[in-house]
Amino acid sequence: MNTVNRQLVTIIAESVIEQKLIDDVKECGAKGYSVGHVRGEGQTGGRALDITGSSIRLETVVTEAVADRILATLGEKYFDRYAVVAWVTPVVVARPNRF
Amino acid sequence: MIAVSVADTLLTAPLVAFVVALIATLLKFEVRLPEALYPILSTFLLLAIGIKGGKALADASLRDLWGPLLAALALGIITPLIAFAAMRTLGRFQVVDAAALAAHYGSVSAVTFTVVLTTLDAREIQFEGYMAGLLAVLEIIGIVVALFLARKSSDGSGWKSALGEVVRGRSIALLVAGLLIGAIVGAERLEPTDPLFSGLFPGVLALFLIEMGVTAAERLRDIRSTGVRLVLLGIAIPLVNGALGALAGKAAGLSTGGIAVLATLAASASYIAAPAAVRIALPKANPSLYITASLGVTFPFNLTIGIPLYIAMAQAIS
Repeated sequence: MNTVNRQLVTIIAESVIEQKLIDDVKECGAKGYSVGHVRGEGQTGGRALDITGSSIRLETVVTEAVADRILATLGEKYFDRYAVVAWVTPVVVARPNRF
Repeated sequence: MIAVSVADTLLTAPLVAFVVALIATLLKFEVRLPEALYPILSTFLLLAIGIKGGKALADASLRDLWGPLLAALALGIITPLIAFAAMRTLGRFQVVDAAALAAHYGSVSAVTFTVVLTTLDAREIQFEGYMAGLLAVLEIIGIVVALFLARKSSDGSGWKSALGEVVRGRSIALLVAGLLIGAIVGAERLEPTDPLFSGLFPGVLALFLIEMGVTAAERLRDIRSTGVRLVLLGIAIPLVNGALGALAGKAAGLSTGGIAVLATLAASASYIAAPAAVRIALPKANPSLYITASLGVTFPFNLTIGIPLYIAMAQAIS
C-alpha cells in the first residue's frame, strides 16, 4: 500500500482549554484530531486542576510543517500559563492526502 | 436556639452523607461513587432545582420579582468586592489571586443553595420558590465583577471565552433549561414528573453529597500548603457576605425562608462555574488557592455551621 511519513502530535492538557486548543490546532492546518480524557499527574500538580474535569489528550496526524506550527503556537499561548505537555512522534500512514 | 437548629440541619440524610464521606476519606476509606455517576447526579439536581424555580416563576408577578432581583444584583456586585478587598488587605494575596478568589466568593454554589432549600423544607419554613432564578443571576455577575478587577492581568481573548464558558457552561445552561421547562409547563401539568424531579430529589442530593464529601476531604489535605490566613478568610468572608445577604433579603421584602436562602447564596462560594472561568481568564492565578478555599473550607463550613446560622439570622431580623 502507498504509505508516507507524517508526524503524530500528542498534547496532554487541562480540559478547560480543550476548545481553545482545538481551534488553534485547526488554525495551524490540522485536518482532523481526536480527543479523550486521561488521568495523571505532572509538575503543575494535576489534582488541583481536576475540578474543571480530568485532563485531555488531543492527537492529530499532520505534516512536519504543521507540527512545527502547532508546537510554536503552544509555546506562544499555552506552555507558561496552563498545564500542557506536547510531543511529536514520527508515524507512517496510509492515504497521504488525508493528513 | 442555634444549637437546636444546628442539630436540625445536620440530621438530614444529605448532610450526614456529606460528613460521613468527608470523615471516611480523611481516614483513607474508599467511599467514592463510580465516576460516571457524578455528571448524571449534577445534571439531575440542576434541572430539578430549575424546574422547581420555574414553576414558582410561572405564578409570580413582575411586581413580586423586581425587589429580590435588585437585591441579587446588588449582592452580585458587592460580595466579590468585599472578598477582593479582604483577600488583598487581610490575606495579602497578589491582585490576580485575590481577583480569582473574589470570583469564587462573588459567584454562588448551587449545591449549597440546594441544601438550604432541603433544610428549610425539612423544618417546614416557607420560602419564595423563584429563588432558583436569582441563583442563575448571582452565579454570573460575581464572576464578571471579579474578572473586571483583574482585567490588567487577563489576556484580551481570555475575557470573552471565560464569559462564554460561564454563560453557556453546563451549570447555567441546565439551570435555565429547568427554569424554562418549569415556567412553560406549569405546576399542574408537571405533576406526572413530580415523583422523579421532586420525590427523588433529597435522595439524589444525598448521593451527590457523598461525592462532594470525598472531594472536600481531598482539598482539606491541601490546606497545609495554602496557609491559615486562607482558612480564616474562607470562614470570615461567607459570614460577612451572608449577613449582607440577609439584610438585602429583608430590604427586598422576602419571607423568613427567602431571607435565609438569599443569605446562603451570598455566603456561598462557587466551585464549578468560577474555577473554569478563572482558569481561562486568569491562568496566572494559583488554582490550589481558590479551589482549596472554596471547596475545602467554605463549602463544608456553610453546609454544617453556616446554613443554620443564616437561618437563625433570617429568623432574628424578620
